[in-house]
Amino acid sequence: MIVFATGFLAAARILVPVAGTAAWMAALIGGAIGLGIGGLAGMLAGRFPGHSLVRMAERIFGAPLGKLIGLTFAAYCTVVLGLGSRQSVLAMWIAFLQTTPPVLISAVFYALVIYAAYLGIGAIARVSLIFFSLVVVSLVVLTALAVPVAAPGRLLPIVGNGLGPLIRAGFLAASYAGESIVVLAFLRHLKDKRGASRAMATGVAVGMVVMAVATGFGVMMLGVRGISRVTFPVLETARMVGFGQFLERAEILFLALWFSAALLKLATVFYASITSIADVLGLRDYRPLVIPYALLGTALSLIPESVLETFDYLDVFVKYSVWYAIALPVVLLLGAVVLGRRGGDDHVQSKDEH
Amino acid sequence: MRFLRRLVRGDVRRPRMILGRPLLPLEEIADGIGTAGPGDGDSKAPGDVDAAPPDSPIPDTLDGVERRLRDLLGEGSPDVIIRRMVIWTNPEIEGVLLYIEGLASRDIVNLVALRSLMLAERVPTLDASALSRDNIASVFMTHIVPSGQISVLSCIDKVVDHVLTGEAALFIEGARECVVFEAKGWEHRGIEEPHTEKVVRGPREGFSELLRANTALVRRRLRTPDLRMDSMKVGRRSKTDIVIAYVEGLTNPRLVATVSERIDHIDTDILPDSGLIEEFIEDYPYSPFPQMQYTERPDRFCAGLSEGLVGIIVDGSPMALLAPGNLASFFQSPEDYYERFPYGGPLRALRYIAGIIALVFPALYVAISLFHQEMLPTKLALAIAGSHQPVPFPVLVEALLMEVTLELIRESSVRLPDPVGQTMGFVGALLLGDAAVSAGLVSPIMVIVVAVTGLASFTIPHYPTGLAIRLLRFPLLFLSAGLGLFGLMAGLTAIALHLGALTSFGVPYLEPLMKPRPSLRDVVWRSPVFTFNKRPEYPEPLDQVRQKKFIRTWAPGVAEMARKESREGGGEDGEKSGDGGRGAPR
Repeated sequence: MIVFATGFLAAARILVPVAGTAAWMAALIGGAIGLGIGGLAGMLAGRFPGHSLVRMAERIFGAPLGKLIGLTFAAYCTVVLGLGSRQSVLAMWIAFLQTTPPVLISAVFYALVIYAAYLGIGAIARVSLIFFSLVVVSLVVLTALAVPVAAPGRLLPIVGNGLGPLIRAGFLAASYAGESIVVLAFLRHLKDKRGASRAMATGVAVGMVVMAVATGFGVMMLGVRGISRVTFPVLETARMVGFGQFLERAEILFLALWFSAALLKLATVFYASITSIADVLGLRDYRPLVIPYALLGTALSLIPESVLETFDYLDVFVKYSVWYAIALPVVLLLGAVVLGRRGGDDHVQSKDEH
Repeated sequence: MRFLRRLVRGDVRRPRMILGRPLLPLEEIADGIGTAGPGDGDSKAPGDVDAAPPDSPIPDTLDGVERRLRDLLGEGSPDVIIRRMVIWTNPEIEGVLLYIEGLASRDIVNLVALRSLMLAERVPTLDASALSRDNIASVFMTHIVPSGQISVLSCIDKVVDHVLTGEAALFIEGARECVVFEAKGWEHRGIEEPHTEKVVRGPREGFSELLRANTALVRRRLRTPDLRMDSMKVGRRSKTDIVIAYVEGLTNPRLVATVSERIDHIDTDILPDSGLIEEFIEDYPYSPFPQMQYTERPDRFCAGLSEGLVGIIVDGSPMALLAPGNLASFFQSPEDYYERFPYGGPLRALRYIAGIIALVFPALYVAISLFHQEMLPTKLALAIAGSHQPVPFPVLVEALLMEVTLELIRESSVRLPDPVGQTMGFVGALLLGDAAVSAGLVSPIMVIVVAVTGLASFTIPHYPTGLAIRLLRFPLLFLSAGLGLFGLMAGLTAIALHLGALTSFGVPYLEPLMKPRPSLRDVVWRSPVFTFNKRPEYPEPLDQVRQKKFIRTWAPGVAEMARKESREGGGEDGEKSGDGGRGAPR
């Protein structure tokens, strides 16, 4: 859910200009890189069972540097949160609620994120499981309905703009898959650590395959040029399909569902961020941070003044965030191996644990 | 009087012969004491009386007893019967019988007490002069009063408590203790068909208000000796009897302990129904969603116990509780299992769809007609616009008007007697719906939307779950009217998050829905019963295996599969059934 809940809305718009008709393959390459990142995160979690990211970093590099790493992680989550929420709010606003002030949509969005964060990761995880299934079903339905409208010839040439751009686009796509590192913040809450690694790998794989399918169908239906002209290619794709004579323009149904998925993803990121900050500050309960941090997130999401500016920020973010997602587990793992650090179970009780 | 003084001094004589009949030796009598029937914390063997004197001891004289009883129970209560009598012992002694008319059965009192105490039919005769203050009540308990449930109590307050539950008490002249025996026999409703959980196919018996009748109904269905029924009392004034039922060796003891502990914490005045217990002991009392199952069907109650749940039966309530509950359990009906699975599965799935319709349909209509008309085919959009055109209100007001009217009709018909209620429902729905459309107050499409919603909400078998959905429909309406589908999804996400955080006795509320395989087997769908090899996991039963993996071994191929699996080392408790629904042999 983390991987593709907001990613696939605009992924095609970012990947197609670089990789051309091979953008769907770039999503798969990104998935492979994401699996690598997930594998590193899993190894790290296996070496430090019952540790949060901040605790791991503190144990490896000592308290000051560990706290600093924790803060960089929180900053990464904050940017994911700000950009993700802005994209979701914009998608709703542009497509369907143009008479409603975006601030109101943003306020409702953050109210729900706050509520979810208060309830804790257990509630978010359970609900995500339901919405994850619904989102996958919705995309399968959408794909099935899109088959008659799609023109497979638009996927040619198969390697698009060439191998170099394809790999470059693959790393851009990996920035979405790399967002899976946020689970490092709360892996300690999971009873079955091995199951968690498997679930993370499955999540990344399914998410990136879905992103590849969505991008591929976007190209088949809108063409490379068409995609570069629209804000959210998936929405335009959804607009082109219909349920026979019963429902037309059903994209709102899909968008409403995806909106909930995005909300849950961002609630997860929000939770990861505030629990990390709480760890850095040595707080036993993260809840006092929820409201101040939500205000920060809302303010951050309002910084881009226009849709275009939002995408400028997004372009920069996807270009560099993947390197952070790779560097974080690599640095921690290397540090642990070189310095010979290994963690016992220092599972810290928090009020959220279910 | 000399005899009384001897009794007070405790001057006990050895047993002797009276009228040529052998008298029972006192030691022999004393040996049998304390084993006759269930007592409570206050009931003691005679020898123990002096060890811990009760707070409110029984007065030494019968006059004192009578005065004390009148103090405790009031002077002017005509149903409190305090009957002075002379008992046939040799020499004769006096006694006082206490019972509440209406609570105690007159037949039992006459047979057990009056007849056995006042008519000298017994052989051998009892030598009363040989008994002491300390053991006389115990001797009466073991040898004279013919009752199955009988005990001796030394605290008069406790005696009164027992009498107020329908038992009768016999105070014997000079005795420190009192004999209390079972005499319950009040008028009560018989076993009838459950009113709120009717089925086309299945048992017709329902719980009644009588605790013992209810426990008997459970015992009749679960004849295992492992069935435990722990008794508790709750309510400072009502002193309501509660039974916690579970199957030892199957139900998780932690769950039993949690339920008992929470009930034990209840400190309230009266407890007229099990509904109050539910509110006292559930995890999230402020949630609109119920967290415990309630049922008036013994078959459903026993099915719950056999899955490792803990049952609670409250005296005076025909609704028994089962803990823990979860969302999926509220969409299940016993009929899902009594009907063959090809109907049970789709019917259950239909119920889930109905639940979603009941929650979102009016809000969806409002959102689409206000914000997303482009979703509809042109003809349908024009039809909706046309039907709404003469209505002077916005769609939200129209929807609220109809929803509130529907709730009024429903509420009024629930409170009325059955035939009147049904008529009221029809008349209300037809007249109000038709008249409202004719008057131009609502559009015909809105009537259809509200009617479908109402029908859908009736399909939910668990009434409080239906109430929760009815309640949550209104905020969703407002959110849809304000923000369209975005608002609706925001509301639904909030509800889903709330459900995700809910627990019932520590078990996540959405637990069975989280696991795909059991979910498809017996949660959103109902598979054939021969595939239910394991019990549900959420109550963490000690014994997971419900039945053998291969039952239909007479069906073609199944026996071979069973043999193959046994060769490969597969157990009887495998995850999936190998039976696969094979048909009967040709």
